[in-house]
Amino acid sequence: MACSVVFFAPLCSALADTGGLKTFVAVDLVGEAFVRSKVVSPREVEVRGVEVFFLAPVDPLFDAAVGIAAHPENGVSLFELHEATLSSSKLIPHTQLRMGKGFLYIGKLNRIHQHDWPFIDSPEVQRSFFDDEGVNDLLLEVTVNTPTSMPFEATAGVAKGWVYGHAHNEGKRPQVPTHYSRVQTFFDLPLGGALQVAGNYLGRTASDSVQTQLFGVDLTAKWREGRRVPLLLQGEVWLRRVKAPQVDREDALGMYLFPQMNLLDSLDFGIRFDQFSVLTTEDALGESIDISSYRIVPTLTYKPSEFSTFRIAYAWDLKRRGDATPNVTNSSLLAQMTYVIGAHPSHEF
Amino acid sequence: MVHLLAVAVALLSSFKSFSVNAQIAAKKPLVITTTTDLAWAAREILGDAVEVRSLLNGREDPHFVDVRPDYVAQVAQADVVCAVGLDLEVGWLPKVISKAARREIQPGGRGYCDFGSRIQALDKPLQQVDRSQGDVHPQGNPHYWLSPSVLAQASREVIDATERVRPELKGKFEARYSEFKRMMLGLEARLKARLVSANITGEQARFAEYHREFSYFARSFELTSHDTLEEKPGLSPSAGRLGKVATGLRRDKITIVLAARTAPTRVIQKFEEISGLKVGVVSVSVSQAPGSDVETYPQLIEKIIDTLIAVSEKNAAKLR
Repeated sequence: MACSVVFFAPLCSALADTGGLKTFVAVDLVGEAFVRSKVVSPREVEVRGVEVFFLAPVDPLFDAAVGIAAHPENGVSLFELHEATLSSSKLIPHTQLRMGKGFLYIGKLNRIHQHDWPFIDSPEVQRSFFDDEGVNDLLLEVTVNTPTSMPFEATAGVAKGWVYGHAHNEGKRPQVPTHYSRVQTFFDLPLGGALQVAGNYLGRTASDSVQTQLFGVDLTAKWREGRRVPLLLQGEVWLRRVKAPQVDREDALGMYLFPQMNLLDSLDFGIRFDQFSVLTTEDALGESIDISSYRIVPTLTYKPSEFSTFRIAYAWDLKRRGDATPNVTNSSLLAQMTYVIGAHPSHEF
Repeated sequence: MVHLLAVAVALLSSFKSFSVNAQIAAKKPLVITTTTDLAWAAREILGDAVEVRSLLNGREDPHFVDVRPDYVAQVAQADVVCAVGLDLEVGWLPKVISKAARREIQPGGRGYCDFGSRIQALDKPLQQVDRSQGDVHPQGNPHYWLSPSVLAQASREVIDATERVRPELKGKFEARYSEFKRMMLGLEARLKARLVSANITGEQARFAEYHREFSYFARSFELTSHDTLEEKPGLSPSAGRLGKVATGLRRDKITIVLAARTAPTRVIQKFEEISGLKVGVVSVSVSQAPGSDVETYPQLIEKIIDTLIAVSEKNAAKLR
């Protein structure tokens, strides 16, 4: 009553938070110690990311999300805008619209925040093709879910594309902006499991006429029993094709596969296998040669609740040239702690 | 010629709209419920006038469910979507509904139905809730479907939602609903009498539960919840906690211990070892999955009562 007398009504309602505003903060702390290293110096423990999110309905048709995130760069962590999107699932039946700045709805890791990944570090394919954390841009995106007995979801989007990945400059107007699509379906598996599999495409032609195309498949299979997920299988395979004027086309293939099993109520063990190859490498004689890198990362996860996670992992990096046996080039110990406070929204499958 | 064309177009479009309307009227409304118990109640009340499907199959723990794309596809076809409510499905249903992207079935839409909005919730926290207290439901205990009389009361919601989306069905379910209520109250009275004849009254009617999910069931059958194995809701109890509860139950001669089939088996076995007491592990949802012995709601409640009596007799012999 006093509120309506003293304040202008909208301000009053804002003060009372009747707008359904939900906030959460996610902190992601990682450490890496190189046990055997040829190139890199040991990294210290650092806060890899702090994300602050605000989510709320704007009006009966639209919902909004605003997220700022701080990542360490050159020893300093500064907050920058990660997401500022307006979305609607009420305008057109079976269709979700999203516009603004955000991560492109493509692949698996690109669609989820780093603190929600099931492992600590970024696979080489993600680092090379999606700039580590993911491709974030000004976008306009449409996702359609078909109301059929066979679940089917199709996404198409276009992003500004002046820069690709994480950049602190405004970039240059591309000849063809970043455009992408994802088509996903879903199957039941024996013993109560389920598999989601999707095909992805991303394309862009930069201002200097360098044309990039990405073709990928992502999959997630899960067997759930209450809070426990006895078995999780997550993986992605991507082929990148880069064509620059006057230069031969470069093809690179990368993938990771992460099976994880539940050991006890809150304890999971998984091993990630990464592989990355430039398919068009030639030796001094102009002969095609296979140079591949691999990473094997056994990971132990303790997750007492869905809001806190502790991980420890050991990573072996291997390189192979031609038909030779792969050699271990680096090995390191990794650790991670993440926690979320506030109202974190539900995750995708 | 132009006039003729206009008339033809008008005739065609009116025929088309008539056939579409006729199809809509002929097609049974589809009611999707989150749990099998709500689906059973909806089928009993709405009969053949509607098609009812459940997202879950009765074997899952509805607190912990993934946002499965097949749920999204099913919800996208629904005329009415019914939830248990009281935040039971808060971890997954809002996302499923949002991804299905239909305004009518979103909260506030005419096809959204929240059974929990019809009942007086028990165990509503009096003080401010935060996550240090575990998975507390701020709006109160959502496990009301284990009480036949409370489920009957909550089920009124599905009639209202169905009539909102299909006004032509208004008033057609009243007789069935009255019969449904009579059946549920009869079930409750009959099983209450069984407990009395098994001497489970007064002091003997005290019980312990793994998770606080038998509060409404206890009120309907005049039982008293003495303790929970969980120290905090949703969190696995430590061995120390299990030991403490076991000592308390043996000291106070509590003979009934109940747990849902979704409770962690390892913890239940550990408790049985520590306490020497048998835990009655029961289904808490109707399931039509192969091999299920609780295909209907009366079977489900009878099975819980049977288990409770059997466990009580077994443990009483041990504590004598």
